[in-house]
Amino acid sequence: MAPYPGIDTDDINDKARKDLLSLLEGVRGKKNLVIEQSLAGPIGLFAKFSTLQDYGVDKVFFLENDNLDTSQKNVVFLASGEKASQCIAIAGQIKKLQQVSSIEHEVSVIWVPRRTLVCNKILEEAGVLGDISVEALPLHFIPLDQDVLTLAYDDPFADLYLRKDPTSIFLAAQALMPIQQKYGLFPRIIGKGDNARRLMELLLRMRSEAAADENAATFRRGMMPSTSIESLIIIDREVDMVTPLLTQLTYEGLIDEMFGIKNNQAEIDTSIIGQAPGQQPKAQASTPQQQGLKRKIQLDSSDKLYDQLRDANFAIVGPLLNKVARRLAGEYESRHGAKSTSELRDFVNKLPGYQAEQQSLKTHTNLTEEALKYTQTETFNRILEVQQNLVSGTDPSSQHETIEELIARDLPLTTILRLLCLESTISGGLRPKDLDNFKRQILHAYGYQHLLTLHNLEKMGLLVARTAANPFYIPVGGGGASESNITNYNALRKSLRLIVDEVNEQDPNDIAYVYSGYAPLSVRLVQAIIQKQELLTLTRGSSSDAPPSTSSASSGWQGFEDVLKSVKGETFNKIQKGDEAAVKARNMLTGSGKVKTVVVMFLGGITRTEIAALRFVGKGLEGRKKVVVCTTAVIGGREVVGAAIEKGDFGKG
Amino acid sequence: MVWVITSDFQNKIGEYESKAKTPPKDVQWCGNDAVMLAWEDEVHLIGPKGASLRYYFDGWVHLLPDIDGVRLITNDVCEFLQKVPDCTEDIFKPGSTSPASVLLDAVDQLDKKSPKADANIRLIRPNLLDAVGTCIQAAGQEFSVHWQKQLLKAASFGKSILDLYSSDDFVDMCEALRILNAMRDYRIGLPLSYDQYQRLTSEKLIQRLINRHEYHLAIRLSNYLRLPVSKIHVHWASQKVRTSTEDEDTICHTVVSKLNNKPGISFEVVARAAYDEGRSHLATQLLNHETRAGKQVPLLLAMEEDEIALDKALESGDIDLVFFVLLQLKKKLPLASFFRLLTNRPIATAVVESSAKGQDQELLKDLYYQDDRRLDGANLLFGEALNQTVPQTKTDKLKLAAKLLGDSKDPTSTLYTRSYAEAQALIRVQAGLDHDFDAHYAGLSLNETILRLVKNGYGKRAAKLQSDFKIPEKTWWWLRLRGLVARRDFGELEELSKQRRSPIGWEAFFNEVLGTGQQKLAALFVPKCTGLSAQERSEMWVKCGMIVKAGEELAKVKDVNGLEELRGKARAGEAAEIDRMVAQFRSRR
Repeated sequence: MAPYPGIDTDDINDKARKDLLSLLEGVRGKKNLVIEQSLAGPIGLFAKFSTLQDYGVDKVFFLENDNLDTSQKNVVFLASGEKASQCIAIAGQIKKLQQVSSIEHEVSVIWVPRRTLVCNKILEEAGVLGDISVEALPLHFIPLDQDVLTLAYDDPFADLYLRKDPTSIFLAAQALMPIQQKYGLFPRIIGKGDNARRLMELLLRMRSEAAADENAATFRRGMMPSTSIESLIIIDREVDMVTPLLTQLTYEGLIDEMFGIKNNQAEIDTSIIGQAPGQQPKAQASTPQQQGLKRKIQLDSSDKLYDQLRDANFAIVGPLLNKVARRLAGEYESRHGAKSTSELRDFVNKLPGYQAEQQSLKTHTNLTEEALKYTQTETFNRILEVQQNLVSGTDPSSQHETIEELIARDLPLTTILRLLCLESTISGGLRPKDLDNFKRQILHAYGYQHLLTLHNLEKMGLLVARTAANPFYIPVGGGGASESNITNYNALRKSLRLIVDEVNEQDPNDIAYVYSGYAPLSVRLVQAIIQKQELLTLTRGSSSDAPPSTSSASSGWQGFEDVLKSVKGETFNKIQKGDEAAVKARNMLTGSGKVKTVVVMFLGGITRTEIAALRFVGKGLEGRKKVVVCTTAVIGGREVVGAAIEKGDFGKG
Repeated sequence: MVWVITSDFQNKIGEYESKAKTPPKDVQWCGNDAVMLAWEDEVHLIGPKGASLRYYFDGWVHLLPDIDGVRLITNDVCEFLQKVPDCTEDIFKPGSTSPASVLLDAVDQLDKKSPKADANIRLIRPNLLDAVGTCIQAAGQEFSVHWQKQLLKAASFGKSILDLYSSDDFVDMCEALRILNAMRDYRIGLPLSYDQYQRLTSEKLIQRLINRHEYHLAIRLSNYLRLPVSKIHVHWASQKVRTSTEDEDTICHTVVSKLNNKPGISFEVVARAAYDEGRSHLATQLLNHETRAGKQVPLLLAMEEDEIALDKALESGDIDLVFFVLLQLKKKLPLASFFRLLTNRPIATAVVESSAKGQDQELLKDLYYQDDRRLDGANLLFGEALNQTVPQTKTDKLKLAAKLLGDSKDPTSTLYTRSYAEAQALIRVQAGLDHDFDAHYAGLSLNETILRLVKNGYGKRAAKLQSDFKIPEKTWWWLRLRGLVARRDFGELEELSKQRRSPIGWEAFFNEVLGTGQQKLAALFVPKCTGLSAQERSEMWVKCGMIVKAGEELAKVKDVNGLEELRGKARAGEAAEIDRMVAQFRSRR
């Protein structure tokens, strides 16, 4: 794949690896590494365990397990500095280590992404700060792929919307600053949502703070608007909660729904996909009870086959796989046709590639079969039907019977909650009587501990009663209030054409293909900025009444101001300017016509389908612009409602 | 008697006999190749190769070594004594014929428009590069402006003749001299030599100027050298804040108007100076202009401006900072005033809540009590109830939670109190079940409990729970169905099939039973599914393996195409039957 212009993700990977390794190298000799569980995955993305071993890591422990032993003199802790609980745990373990062990340990703590005052304080109060060395690993964005960057921060969704803790906004701003320093200021910061606005303000603030810093001279270079980045679009997850609640229907999305993908890896039962090719013989010999064994498979664009499949609607994955299989077989057979030795040699050279492809084909065929089984179950289709009916605006109460039945049949709580939250967000709350009824049924079916779950969902605004203060219909554009406090899907369904009836899954013509007919609102908003013409054509049916010269590069939200009034949260559009004269001079020198990058930041998380949709939008820009997706985390419906679910029950004792 | 030897004590470089009777009071290096001996009012300078000089003074003299010479301090003057540098000696030694000296002469001649200038240049042509270098060096050593000019002129003249010459040295020297001359001005009085300046570096020089409060010159100098001026501004402002006698508002105004919009200004330092001076009001005012919250907040905390510190931390969006402030304040303030700080600061409250969760339940309870957030308080107790291990304490906690909500009438509270009551009842029931059946029912949800009871064949008990907890009919039927299927109690299922109607329809029964492989039993439910179309029912028959029945179903609605399709699935015996049905229609037509 060609390197991305604008933001070079490999660069970020390299830097992160180098930083980590040099910190590890700073501790001489062999060492035990104690790592926070949620950091292990992200770090695995850019540094392999074997690499860590090369740098003297002997054993790795999880901080949460609290099972550190005293086998090595050197101990390195690696944890997130933003969380006090982690810090307290570390302080406790260090103390324990000092008491239990007979030798003097050299302990160092590496905070990600920065050393915080609070952790200093806690370590100081625990009386260990003096005995250890403290470092920071400035790990901000981690590339999940060429065009997807995410924060290495655990569970930002719950933090932001349930606990209303804006740490992740701050971290996002901190992560965006190096990009600004490297590539220049984002010439335009545009977005939707209250938290998005906060992020924008933080970015501006950090810019002035950076200017006030001592080494101002080093930053001054970056104070010019970037030439390679066109704009930063910030979308607050809160703006569009419906999208993550729906079942994702792209191949990758579906795998995520079924097995869960974490840090580009999915753990899948070996009974489905078979053993890893390397360990097959050994595993068979040693243990007969392989049934429950799980295997991790890597899911990213390095697997060429997967790269083709991941963003496709699941409906066409089967045929696609078929085609690939036939092509592979054909190529393999071509060896018989090889006439000369040189042709034969060519074939042999390609052989390892074939084998890898063959292996990946096998894995994905198995996965697809499993997914097909899943999508053909009755309940799956019932759920999908309810979802489709709800988003297309049928009377929600007609779906209640199905939902009640699903509760009685003891479907996973997350599934039920997703449906109920979906209804609540789309229609601005449930009728109090219905809501009460559902709550009772949920408590009966899943346990009274979910009183807390329901309370949490209400706090997040996902499952609420429709009241006078929370009116169902907000007159579009009426009342003069430019910021509404909930997203009015009924108005938007038409004005942004969220429902596209005739989607072509085979050869998609609109982003709606990712949900087989529903276009994610969040991505529609992005389109309203970078794909105005297309969106106007789509929503109005004809392009004639669109303003003829939409120089979309400079118009921001133009043309969609009215629509935005029915979307929750504040709207903003800020242009960052540098020194006028310098900008002019540089424009003279460089000229335009370069491919520009649009950075899309999803605050609070993005779903895999939205990434797919954004990639689709990116393709539609015909190489004029590139889209890079930044986010605080990749999420799905499981994470959204999972954040609220109470895990304890009355079973103790 | 003085011997100058190399540091390894091997070679003697110079030897000098002072012929004095008393030992010298002081011995110092003067530069790196001369030694100075001092008596009370007499100084001897010993150069290399035994060269020496003597100086006499009126009073006591003290030596202060510098890197390229020695400062002599007497009662009334301070003199700087330095060995004449080589380059200067090279040029100005009487009768010198060194290229540099010739070059200097050439410039002289040029001024006089004498052709000798050209002759001079020709003479030293091969060594011109060195000559220019020496002239530049010598200019640096020179204290007299006239000679500096003269030497630089010579250098400039020389380099204009050279074909290839990098003027960097020349330019640097001009710059340095300009600075040195400015320093040597009697109003400033910093008579630095070039070597001293090089050693000192320009940054330190500026620092010295700042220490002498020569701000204007320092800024001009910084601008000239393209160095940052922010430190100068900050120092000026700090000084202003410390010493100014004007009232605080005026000071703040002057400082701010001067420093605003300048890059790299740390108002924190200025504010700290003001605070140290006891002008805390001024300090707060100044801190408002500090953009970096990380700098503002600790000082504000130190100044006990708690509220402002918290607000500034919140403004910065840095939760770490907020948390830090809150930690400090919680320790310092009584709980009531701490909570008062939290009111109207939702983010701060959120931080306290999320950090206290699981760590400091009591704090949360107090907080919720203070804010009258009963629901949250009740939830907290509910959470504690979940953590109890004995049924009795669980219900006790639940009762407490219910009490907290009181007899509030709003719908959420009613739901809560009712759920609490139900939860208590369920816990009691489950405890009873655990006791009776010696099985682990505790922790199951109500539906799960019923399901398990049905599964284990305790239908009566299940039914009692259903009526006690007012489980909706539909749910009850589903639970029964699932329970019986799991138990494979097909007799009971058959019994159920005799009922006239089921609230969940019969299709569900069909599907669930078919799932167990009991085709015959499943078939019982097919005719009961009256809500479905004939085609669907026919399909259900097929699933039970009863093709003929399926055919009959289709025949009823005269679906010939369906019948023909069906024929493909039929076995030998059945096929005939289907054919017969098809034929029936054909013939009729």
